[in-house]
Amino acid sequence: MSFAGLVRMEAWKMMRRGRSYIGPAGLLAIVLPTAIGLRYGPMGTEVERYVGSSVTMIGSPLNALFIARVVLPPTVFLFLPLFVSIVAGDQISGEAADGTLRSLLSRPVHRLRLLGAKYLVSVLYAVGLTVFLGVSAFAVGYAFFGIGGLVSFGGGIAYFGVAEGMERLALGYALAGAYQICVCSVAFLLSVFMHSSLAPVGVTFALMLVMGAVGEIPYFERLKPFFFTTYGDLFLQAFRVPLDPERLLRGVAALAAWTGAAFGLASIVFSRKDILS
Amino acid sequence: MDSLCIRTRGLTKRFGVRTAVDGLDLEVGRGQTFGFLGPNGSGKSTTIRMLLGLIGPTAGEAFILGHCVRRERLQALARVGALVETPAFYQFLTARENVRLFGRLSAEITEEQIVSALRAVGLEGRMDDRVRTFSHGMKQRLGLACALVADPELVILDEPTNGLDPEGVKEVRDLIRSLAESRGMTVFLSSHLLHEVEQVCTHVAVISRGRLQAAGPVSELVRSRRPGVEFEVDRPDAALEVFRSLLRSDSLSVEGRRVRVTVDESEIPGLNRALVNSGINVSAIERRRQTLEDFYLDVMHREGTVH
Repeated sequence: MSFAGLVRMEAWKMMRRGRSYIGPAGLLAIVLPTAIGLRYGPMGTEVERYVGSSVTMIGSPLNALFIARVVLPPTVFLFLPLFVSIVAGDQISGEAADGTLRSLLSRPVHRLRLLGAKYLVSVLYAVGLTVFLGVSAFAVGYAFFGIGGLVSFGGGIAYFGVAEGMERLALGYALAGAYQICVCSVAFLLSVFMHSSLAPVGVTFALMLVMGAVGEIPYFERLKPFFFTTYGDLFLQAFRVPLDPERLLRGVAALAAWTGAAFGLASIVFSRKDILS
Repeated sequence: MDSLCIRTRGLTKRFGVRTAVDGLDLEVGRGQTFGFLGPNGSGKSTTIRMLLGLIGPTAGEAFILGHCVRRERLQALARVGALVETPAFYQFLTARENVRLFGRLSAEITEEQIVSALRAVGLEGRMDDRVRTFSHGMKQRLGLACALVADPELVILDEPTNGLDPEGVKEVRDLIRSLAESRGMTVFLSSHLLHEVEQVCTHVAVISRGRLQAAGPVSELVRSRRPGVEFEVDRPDAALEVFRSLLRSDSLSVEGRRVRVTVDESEIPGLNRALVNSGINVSAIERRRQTLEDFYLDVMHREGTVH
C-alpha cells in the first residue's frame, strides 16, 4: 500500500476511534466555561476594571480575541499535551497491546512507511487540535462578546488592534502548535517502546514534570536550553512588544530538533523491533 | 519459479541465552497442506513470526515464494495470508471494515471479495456488526476471512481452530481442505490437534525445543513407525515386567488391562509365548492402526519431552 493510502487508513481509523474526540470535547469544556464565567461572573468585571486602569481603550477588552488568548496558557501546558499524548502515545503501544500491530505487520506493509503514516496523522491531530482550540475559542468569544482589539497580559499589558491582534494570535497559536508537535513526537517515541496505551501518556507527563523541575534548579541552569519543556511558553513571545525574532527562531529550532530526534529514534527502534505481542 | 513455498536454512532465534529456534531447515512445497507440530514452547510461533518478518532471525534465512523474508519482506508477503495466534482486530470497526482494512494492505480487493470471504467462514449475517460484540470463535473465523480475502497463494494459520465449537472445528477443517483442493493454495498450519492435522494435512514437520525432529508426508511418517499391538491380560503389571525384560521400555505403555507395545509383527508370537510361560492369561491381542498421534508421541518420547 502506498504512503498516501496508509495515511488515509490511519486517519480513518483515528476518526472512528472514540478517544480521538476526548480532545475536542475537553477543549470545549474549557473554552465554554471560560466565556460563560467572563460573561456572567465577577471575573469579567474585574478584568475590565484592571485593563481600564492600565490601558485606555474604547469598549470592553472582553471579546473573541481575548477569549482565544486567555485559554492558551492552561491548554498549552496541560490539556493539549494530555489530549495529544493520549492519541500519539496510543499509535504503536495501543496496537501492540491489542495485537493489531501483529496483524498489520503480517501483511506486505513497509514498516517505516506505516510508522511515517501513523506519525503524520498524530502530528496532524496535534495541529488540528491546536487550531480547533483557536477557532472554537474565537467562535465562542465572538458569540458571547463580539470582536475587538486584543489585550494581552504577561510581561506587562499589551494592546493590539483587531488586525494585529489576529496576526499575533495566529503566531501564538502556531508556536503553541509547534510545542504540541514536539510533545506529540515524544509521546510517539515512547509509544514505540511500550505495550500499554496509557503508559506513554504517563511517561510523557513525568518527563515534562522532571524537565520542568530540573530546569528550575540553578545548578542545572546550563541544561535548561536542552529541555523541550523550556520552550512550552514560546507562544508568549507572540504577544511581546516588540517581537524578538532571534528568540522565536531559537525556540522553534530547539523544538524542531527535539521533534526530529524523537521521530528519528522511533524510526530506528521500530524498524528493528521484534513484534512479540 | 521456486517449487517451494517456504524454505528455511539454519533459521535460528535466540532471546538472550534462550534459544527458541535452533538451526531449522524446513521445506514446504507448493500445493501442500503442511502441519507444523510441537508442544507448547517448542518454537512454532517464533518460527511463524520469523516467516512473516515480525521478528528477525539471529541466524539463518527464511524464504517465502522464492523471496528472502529479511531482504525482500514485501515481495515475500505479497501473496501470503496469515492468522497468527489469537486474531486481533479493531474492536470499534465492523467485521466488514476489518476485512477491508487488512485485505487492502495485501492487494486491491473488491466488496464482492470481502463478502465472499465472510460468507466462506459463516459470518455473512454479522458482517456489519462491530467486532467488540463477537465471541472468540467468531473472531477466529474473522481472522480466517482476513487471511483469505486477498486470494493468497500461501496461507499461514497458527492454531486456526482455537476456541471453536466442534461444529466450527469441522467447518474450518473442511474450509482448509478446500483451500488446497479447489483453490490450489498452500496451507501451513500450526496446531496442537493431531487428529485434525492428520485429517487435513498432506505433510507434517515436528519441532521440539526449537529443533526439527521429523518431517515428511503424513502417510510415510505414520507407516515408518513400527506397528502397535495391545495385549489384554489379567495381570498388566506382571506383563509389563515380562516385556521390560525383552523390549525397550520406551515402547511400552499400560492402560487398564491393556499393555501396549511397539514391535515388529514377527515378534508378536514370541511375546505371547513369554506371557503364557509366565502364567499370565492373555484374553486378546489386537493390532492398533498407527496414527499421527502415535508417531508424534514416539518422536516426543525419543526427545524426552513426553514421559
